[in-house]
Amino acid sequence: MISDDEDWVRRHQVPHLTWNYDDNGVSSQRTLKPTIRRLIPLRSSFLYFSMFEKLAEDYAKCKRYVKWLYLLYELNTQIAICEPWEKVFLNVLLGSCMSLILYASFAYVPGYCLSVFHLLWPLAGVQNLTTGSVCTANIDGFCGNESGAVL
Amino acid sequence: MGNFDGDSGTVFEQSYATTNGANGKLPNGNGAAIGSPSNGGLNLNHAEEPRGEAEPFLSQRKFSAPAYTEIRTRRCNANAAAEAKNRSPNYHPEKRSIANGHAKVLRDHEETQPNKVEGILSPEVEHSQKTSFEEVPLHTACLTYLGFYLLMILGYINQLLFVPKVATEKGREGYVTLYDAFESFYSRYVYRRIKDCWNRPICSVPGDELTLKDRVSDDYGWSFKFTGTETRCLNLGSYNYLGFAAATGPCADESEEKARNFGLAYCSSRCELGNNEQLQELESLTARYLGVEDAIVFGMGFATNALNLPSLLGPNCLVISDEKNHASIILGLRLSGATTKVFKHNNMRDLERVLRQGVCYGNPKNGGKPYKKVMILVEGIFSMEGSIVRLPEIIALKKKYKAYLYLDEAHSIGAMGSHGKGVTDYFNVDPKDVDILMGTFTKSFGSAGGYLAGTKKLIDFLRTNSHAHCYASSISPPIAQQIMTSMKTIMGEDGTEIGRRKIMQLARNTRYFRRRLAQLGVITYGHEDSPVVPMLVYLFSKIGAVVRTLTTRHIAVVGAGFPATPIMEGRIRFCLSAAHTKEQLDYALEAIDEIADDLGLKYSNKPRDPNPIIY
Repeated sequence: MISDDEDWVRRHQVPHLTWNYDDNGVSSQRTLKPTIRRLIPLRSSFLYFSMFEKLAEDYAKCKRYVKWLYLLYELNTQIAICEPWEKVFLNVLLGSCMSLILYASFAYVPGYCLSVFHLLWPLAGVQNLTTGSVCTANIDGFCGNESGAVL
Repeated sequence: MGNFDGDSGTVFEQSYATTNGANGKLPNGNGAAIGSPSNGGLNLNHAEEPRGEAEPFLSQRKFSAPAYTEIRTRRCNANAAAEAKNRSPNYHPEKRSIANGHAKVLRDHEETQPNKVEGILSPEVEHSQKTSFEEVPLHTACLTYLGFYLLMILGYINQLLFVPKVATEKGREGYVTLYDAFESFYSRYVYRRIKDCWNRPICSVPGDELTLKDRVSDDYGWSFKFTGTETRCLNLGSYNYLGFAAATGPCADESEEKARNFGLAYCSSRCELGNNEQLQELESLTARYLGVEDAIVFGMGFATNALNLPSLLGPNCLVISDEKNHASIILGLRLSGATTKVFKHNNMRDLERVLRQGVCYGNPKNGGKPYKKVMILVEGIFSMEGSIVRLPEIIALKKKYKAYLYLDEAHSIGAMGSHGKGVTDYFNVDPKDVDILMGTFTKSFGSAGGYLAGTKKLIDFLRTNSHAHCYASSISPPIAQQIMTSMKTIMGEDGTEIGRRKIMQLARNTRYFRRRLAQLGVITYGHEDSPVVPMLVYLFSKIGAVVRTLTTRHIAVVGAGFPATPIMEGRIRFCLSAAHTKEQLDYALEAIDEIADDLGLKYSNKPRDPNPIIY
């Protein structure tokens, strides 16, 4: 069991920092994209390696990826160097700005586009087809016509 | 996906390590150790021992980061090549039994030529080929602006709601505030946030390796406490271009002897009781080194500029200085009261335009009469940009418009040129063409002080009229001896090859490092041959992140932000040294590569060289 374990470990080890220099001091490998991946210690032996381990590994990878993206977001907006209460404040501020922009783009832009369309081609919506009536029916109501576009 | 294995390499929490070890990442020498001694006391006791004795012990404890096994420091570059030739060529860190110093083969190939301008193409074309100031990518510029706006908003809210922990003036109603409002705002609410990255104390000789004294802050940068531990780092921040900053070696021995025989200070200004044979010998040696008639030396490099420019210039003079000149020059010009015009950095057309205007239209304050003198003020290597002055073209312009040229070679003396004699040597220009040569002994000579050199008439004038000569105390004996020994070593007059090897080593290191950085894809500014390498990170938080992360990886660098640089261009500055070996540079580059991947610093749009870079 133990030897199989070691075998698996050795075969899956990612070689970091393999410096293969030939005699002239030239690196024969394209320099440096070192991937230092920490080897996840396997408690169970090779025979019991199952789907769940893989899922757990993927989940851990996902979590790390999301954490990394959050770190990048923090660095790029300079939130990273702030105190915790400042971080909360800035996150709320940015979040509300982004949500405002998103809401506005989903709520108002289609209405504006339709208005512009009908401004340019006023005769386009005259023919009252059945599909046309469905469209106009949807334009009133909860979602979509805050801009007040009238057809 | 990037290298976000967060434990030993990158630091996720970009905040201060608090004294209760909140995130457990105190940057002491045993941070990521597995089974190495972890006594703070042990660190303190042994870090002070001379390196020679404690070297085997230190080298075991030095670096416990898993990616690096050993840094072997060398006292003399000459032994390394000979030794390395006899070893087996296996450089893998695990398989290596002995560490290698410099590259195995010192080839007499064009790669090992020292710094010298090629001279094949015209100076403008060669300069534009070798210099790069890449434009910032648009998304980064937008994010930088956004980030600063957010920090400003936060700063204003902080100012409104909380009292800052600073001293305030009392009983001063009605008086103008002592500090400029923006400057104090910036320093309290932006600069203070990553204050642990600025002004870090050291406790060793800043050679190719450095010991940083660790400190933590409980209140986000307002105050600091020492943890008592130290971190041994690779030194990429000191101006140690030729590696003369060492506690052992011929320079140190001679300085010690001089201190024993002649004391530690002259305790007087040069004019009164502070002049002696040693200083006169130093001045004649400096003049001989630079290839001019005479030289005068001062105790402080900054003061050389700040106090001599007022003696040379007056109110009816025109000074045309480069945009990116150093604070000492700007201070000296303000003190002198001369009319100062600025031209765009290294831009010859702008310089010509300003010269023409000045010469044609004269002094507007004087009713249009011509200026008494016109002086062009530039630096040899600009330390924040890493660019080299376009000397041949400036000399041509100066001769055309009959202007004087003042060249501040603070960083370039010793570091540039095939004989280490500065940019005049680099461009193969007659040093007598430059009217006033100024430089400092702090950077390449490993000492302190500054000099001015030129014709005998100029230096005699300065001896009688310079404030620094008259009032500042003379350079103390061991320091002057250090300058003399290092100068003689560089010139080769001590009979060894050390000086020449150091110059070649620096040139080789510079070329290798700059090419590797370009291959990584980060934006660096400046000329290919300058040993000062600024790497652009633009954002303030990234300066903090990079400096902190590199410290955990045992690399010490200097971060530079506003006001030393434009507010949107934060940078990390690497200063290469002849004392660095290829392995050290490789280690640093590998760490930089990971960090650049992790933090998103690879902004460059230039094509990257796919071939491996030869050392």
